[in-house]
Amino acid sequence: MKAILEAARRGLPILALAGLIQSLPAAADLPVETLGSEPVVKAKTRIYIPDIAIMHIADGKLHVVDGETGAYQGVIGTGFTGQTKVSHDGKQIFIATGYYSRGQRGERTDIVEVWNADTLSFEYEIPISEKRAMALNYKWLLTQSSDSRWLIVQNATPATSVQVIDLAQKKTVSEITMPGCWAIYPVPSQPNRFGALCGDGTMQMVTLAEDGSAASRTISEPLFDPDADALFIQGEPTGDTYHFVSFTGNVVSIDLSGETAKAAGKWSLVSSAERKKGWRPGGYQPLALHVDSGRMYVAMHPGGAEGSHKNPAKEVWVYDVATKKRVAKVHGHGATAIATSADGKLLYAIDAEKAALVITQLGKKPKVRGTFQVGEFPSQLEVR
Amino acid sequence: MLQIIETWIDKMAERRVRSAAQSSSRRSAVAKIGTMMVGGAVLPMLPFDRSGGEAHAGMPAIDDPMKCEYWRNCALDGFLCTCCGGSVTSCPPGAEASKVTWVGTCKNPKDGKDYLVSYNDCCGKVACGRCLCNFNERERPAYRMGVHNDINWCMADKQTMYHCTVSVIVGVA
Repeated sequence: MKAILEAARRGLPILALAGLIQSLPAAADLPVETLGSEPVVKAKTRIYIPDIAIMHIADGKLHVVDGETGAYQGVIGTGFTGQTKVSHDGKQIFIATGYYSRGQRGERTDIVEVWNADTLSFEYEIPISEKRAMALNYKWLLTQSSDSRWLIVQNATPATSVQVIDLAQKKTVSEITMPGCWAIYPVPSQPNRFGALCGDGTMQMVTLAEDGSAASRTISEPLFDPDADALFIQGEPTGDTYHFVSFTGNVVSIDLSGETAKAAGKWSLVSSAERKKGWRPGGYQPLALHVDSGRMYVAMHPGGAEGSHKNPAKEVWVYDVATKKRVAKVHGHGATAIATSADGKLLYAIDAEKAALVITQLGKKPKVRGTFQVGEFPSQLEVR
Repeated sequence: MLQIIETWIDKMAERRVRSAAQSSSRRSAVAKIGTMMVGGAVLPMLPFDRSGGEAHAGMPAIDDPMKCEYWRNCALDGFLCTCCGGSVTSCPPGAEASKVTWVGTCKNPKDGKDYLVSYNDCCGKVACGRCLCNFNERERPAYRMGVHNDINWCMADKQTMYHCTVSVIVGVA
């Protein structure tokens, strides 16, 4: 057998192997097999990786990978620029997407599909408005309220709004205009309330009425400078306070617990020397926050300047949120999206060049567990 | 056996990727990832110069409309229509120019002036799949929708399928 493999490795024609095969010792026949389907995804920790599949954009995917071993578990089609979100209980996957009747052309249908996260099978769909944002996959463009009742879809025509789905009724119940604002940040303690970052540096907050319409809204004082130091839209919460990173390397925290959003601290990720060297955050999901350990992870690249905000990471810098001090640096693996495991012991990174998931065991001596090729254009990670 | 051969193909592909990776351009800090080869298929990878092999002989990339580093492409994210049967100012046959767009600002190295560049998408046909680029000068998240490129600018058209992107000069900044 070794000789056959060696021959195959050298690219020898199969015919040349025939003699070798004939000389193998006789063995019992293999048993007859039965074809079936894997009933469920076996992985306990699952990494959901949306893939816009830009080369054939009508046909995006959501990959499911085992968070412990990196083993590929299965896939769901996500249509044309579909956004994905796993339900709070982990049992369902929501996909806000659209299809044309002839694949690339014809009648358009926009829907939220609901899939079973264990069997990766379709459950039902809810019609939504064609105003759905046809965006690259980003966290917080599809949001579930903390009480699991509302599913909120980002719209862009390019005027911005959101559409609110009542999951109990399985229907879209309202559209709420959000002029100049983007993303949907749910407030954990207030299931009927969400925030959005706005182009004038404010945070707009909307409180939903029981019918899903906007009962009230507030606009904060300016909280950041979108020209000089824009915030990445990926925010990560501790309670009701969201932490954002900025293009030039600051952390901006915003408290969403009240009716109006308010500033909750700002600090620098970089020293003045590092700032001079152009160390900046970059990517599509450049921030990971492990709440229990108080560790924040940021995908960083050197030599940054205007326009480098989607650059892959050279290093991932690790901070203690309480002291606002950097406590470690780990290899960046060319990451454009990062996340941690629920126990904080593993760091997941999407290697942009290899289109791969890199799993790193954190600790005093971080160790790469493996690099696992996933899809074509992964840009986001959801760990469950 | 299959797994061994797959591993072997992966290793081959890895070597080809390494040899294909190039570092060039005025944006040398970012333009280091080229086209990635896997088992003979060309896959688009992030970021940035992914125009892969469309260069005109002898022409510097910054002057070559078929290269990601062409000066007008300083904030273009998508397939270059110049590689898809169109030009910097025209959509390929059968594709329709988007009704809405966003405008970037790029410096022309020839005259030193900053120009407003309209990055219209061409719409209604399948993704072109050639010369995938990703530059982001002065680009901002979608709370500044007018300078955002991670969205399909065919969104206001009847047929919204994304095909490729042009770079039309619409004024001096």
